[in-house]
Amino acid sequence: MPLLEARNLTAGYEKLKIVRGINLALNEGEILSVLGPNGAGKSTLLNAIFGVARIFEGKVFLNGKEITGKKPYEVARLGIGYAPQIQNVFPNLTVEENLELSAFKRNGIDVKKEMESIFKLFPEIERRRKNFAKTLSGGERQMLAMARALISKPLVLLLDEPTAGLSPKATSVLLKKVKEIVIELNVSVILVEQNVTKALETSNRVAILVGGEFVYQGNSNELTREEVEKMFFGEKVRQEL
Amino acid sequence: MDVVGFLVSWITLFSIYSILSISLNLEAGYTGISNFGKAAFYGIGAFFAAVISLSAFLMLNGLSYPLYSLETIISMGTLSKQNPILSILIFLFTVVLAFFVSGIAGYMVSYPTLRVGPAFLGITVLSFGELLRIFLRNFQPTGGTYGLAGIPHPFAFIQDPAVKDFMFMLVTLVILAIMYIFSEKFVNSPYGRIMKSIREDEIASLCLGKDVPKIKAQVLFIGSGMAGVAGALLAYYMGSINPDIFVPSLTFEVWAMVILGGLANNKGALLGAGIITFLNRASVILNFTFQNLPIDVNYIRWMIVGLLIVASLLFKPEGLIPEDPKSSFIWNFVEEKEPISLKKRMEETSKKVKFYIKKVFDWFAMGGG
Amino acid sequence: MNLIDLGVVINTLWIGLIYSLMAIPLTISYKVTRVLNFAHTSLVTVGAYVAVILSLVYPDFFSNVFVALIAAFFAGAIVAILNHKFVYRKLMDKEASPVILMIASLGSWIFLKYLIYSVISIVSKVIKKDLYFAVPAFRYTLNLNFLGISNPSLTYSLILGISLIVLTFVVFYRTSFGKAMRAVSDNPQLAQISGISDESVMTLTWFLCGGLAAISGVFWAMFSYASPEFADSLILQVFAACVIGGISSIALTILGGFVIAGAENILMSILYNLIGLDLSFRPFLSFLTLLIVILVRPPAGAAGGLPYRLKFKRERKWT
Repeated sequence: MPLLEARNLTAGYEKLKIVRGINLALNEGEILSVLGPNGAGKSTLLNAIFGVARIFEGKVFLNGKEITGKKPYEVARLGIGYAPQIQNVFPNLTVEENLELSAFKRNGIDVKKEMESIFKLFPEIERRRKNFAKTLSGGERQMLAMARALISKPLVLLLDEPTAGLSPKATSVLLKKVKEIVIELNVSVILVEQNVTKALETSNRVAILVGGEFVYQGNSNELTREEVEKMFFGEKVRQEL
Repeated sequence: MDVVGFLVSWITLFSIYSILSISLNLEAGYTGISNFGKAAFYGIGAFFAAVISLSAFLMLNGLSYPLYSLETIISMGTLSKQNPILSILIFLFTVVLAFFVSGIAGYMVSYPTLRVGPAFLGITVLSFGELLRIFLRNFQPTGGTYGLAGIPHPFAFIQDPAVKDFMFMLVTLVILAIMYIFSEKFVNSPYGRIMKSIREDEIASLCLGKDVPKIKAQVLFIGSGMAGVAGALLAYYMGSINPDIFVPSLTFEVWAMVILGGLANNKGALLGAGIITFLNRASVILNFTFQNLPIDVNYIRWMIVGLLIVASLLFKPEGLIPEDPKSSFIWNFVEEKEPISLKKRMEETSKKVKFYIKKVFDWFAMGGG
Repeated sequence: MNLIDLGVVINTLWIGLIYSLMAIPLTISYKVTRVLNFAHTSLVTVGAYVAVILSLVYPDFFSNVFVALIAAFFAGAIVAILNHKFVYRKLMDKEASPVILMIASLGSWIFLKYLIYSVISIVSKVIKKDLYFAVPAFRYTLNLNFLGISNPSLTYSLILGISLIVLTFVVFYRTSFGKAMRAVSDNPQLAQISGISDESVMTLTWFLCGGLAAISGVFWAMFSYASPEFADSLILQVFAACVIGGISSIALTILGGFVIAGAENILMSILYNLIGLDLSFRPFLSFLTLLIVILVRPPAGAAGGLPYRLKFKRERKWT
């Protein structure tokens, strides 16, 4: 049984349907990359899984239990961590407080212990632990966002473009961290990415989202960057270029 | 029950409040200024008109009573009837001047407040109104809490009170018509579109090169001026005014009219004013009929006003008459304009291309300099 | 010539404390829920009247200040929560802008105000006592002589008020609930994503803010008397204190309360003794303070406006 499953999901905002007929399955211990051009609906897909976007049709299951239509905080307490692309930290709280908050109302979590183990994974933010989050740099913020999502020991981690706006070196470091996390903390990851090469390197499986629908799902080592780009733009455009 | 008297008093009050709601609509509906101090400018107009007309009558007759005194009230009773033309002239003069006095007050209040967000603007203007009210309550030359009385009615020379009230109603209706036509023209002018652009996105209008604070200040000038005119009319209609008329609740009554009728729609403002002033008049009559109620009917009326604000925001946020973007006649103009024919457009384009080619050749001819 | 005497200073302290206590819940509720609650003054009145009426009707039980304070706290909290559930929550679900919420709070204010009037007029008739200027029947079990102030109600409210302010700080900055409140104030959606129910945080915030507002009303009634208008006549001062704090900083709001009280009492006393300024100009001094604050240190950020300001150049922090 897959850990996280979306069946025939159609979602969007208000009256607008942005993603249509999505079937998605995430198995334990794997990294699934969702790739696609701008405006394909990648972030909306994550928001729909999390209950932030509106679901018109279809169902979402976590570990066999239905989570469709649940409030975001309930979904979070059931074991999904989410690091949004923008505004992903509380700027007026310190790094420690940011982390403590995510463990709020979660039973059986020793916050102090968890925080130390998280700080071992992210030594970059450990030295800033007493600082306000608004003083962090872009890369540090992304790491804090990831740490914030991870501290409550989720089963599934959703990462929305964690490398957006980062330098190539920071991107490599961050994606290496993602791989480490999967092994060390035993979570499964859905990774939304723009950087095709890096995403193919990092992930086990790839799903390609174009115009709100999946056009391809499969193992990432079967694909090359050129093939992915062909799918992004359609065959013709590529030939003309 | 006196139906005609009821109608006359209702329509007079309706006209006065409609001027207020139209002015608030200009500010809040079209420009997005959350003006919670309407009562202040209304009060400035009322007190200004009262003070000027009382002192004018006293001065012209060579009397030197204080403004608030029994002698003034008694003498006004006879003085205002002596010279019809003078009464009406003073009335018109004070109404026009009240526009400018209130407007300038609005303009000056706008200076510090427009530089902060809507929340602070609301607080500051509301505080300004409360400040003026509390000040006037303690300010003895205008009668303190008792206010001013004996304000000479412009039609005091007419003996029959029903005809007198009817004449006054006609005057307020004419002034309302002027205000309504003015604001319709105003919001459908290019200036009106700038106002709407500020309401929609202040930063975007700033980037289009519009001086947002200046335009807001000008709108506040006009809106406050209109409120001042309404205040002057109220002073003449009531004959006596006191600071406690201009409580913040009055501002919210005007807000209720605008929200109920529909923001950014002058017809809606009129409709809202009609409904709320009807409630107002009806409660006065009910108060007369049932005198032994445990609760003042006015309390219930105010509660209904509060409920109406909340309910219309919850269930019909666009109001009874929603904003109609096509009502602007400039829109019709664009729609009806003939499309430019393809041939003409091609001619123009080729003319431009030729011009630029010639320019390039000239540049080469000059030796690239 | 003696410009100020000790009485004026003590008065300033006491009134500043009241203003701070009234302004703090306003600031906190704006921070967390983004509603600029104009109905706040009604909550203050509700608190004062619940305590006063209870102390007049059941004098043996509610004459103790603490019992009356607790009753007032719950009354204010319940009214605030009902107001939230029936008005603000519904509007927030429709994604209303802060301006719409502010206008809705005006509607609640006017409704609550006249509801209070109606209740008072009914209760006055039932218990056959004029409640429009009601003096509470609180008794003080202790008579402390604190800093040479022998007035027991002053002593009481100074001690209680200061401890309440300290308690607010502790709750806001030290407890996990306070952290959740600050998280919701920073970014409600992210707070939900992190597993915090924004609705329960907001409800608890209104509980605390309504209660605090009600307690400040009881303090005022203890010192002078309760009338349906007293809180509304303080709106200028309370909002001015909030503006000094930028409706975001609690510490600055407290400072603002004392600054406004100082302008009203100490400055007024000095001006009265120096140039014989009429006492009717007292509200002008608070308004002047408000204007000076807006002009010299215009509040920016969520509650502030765009950074077009005065002509002279100044560095501006974008937050």
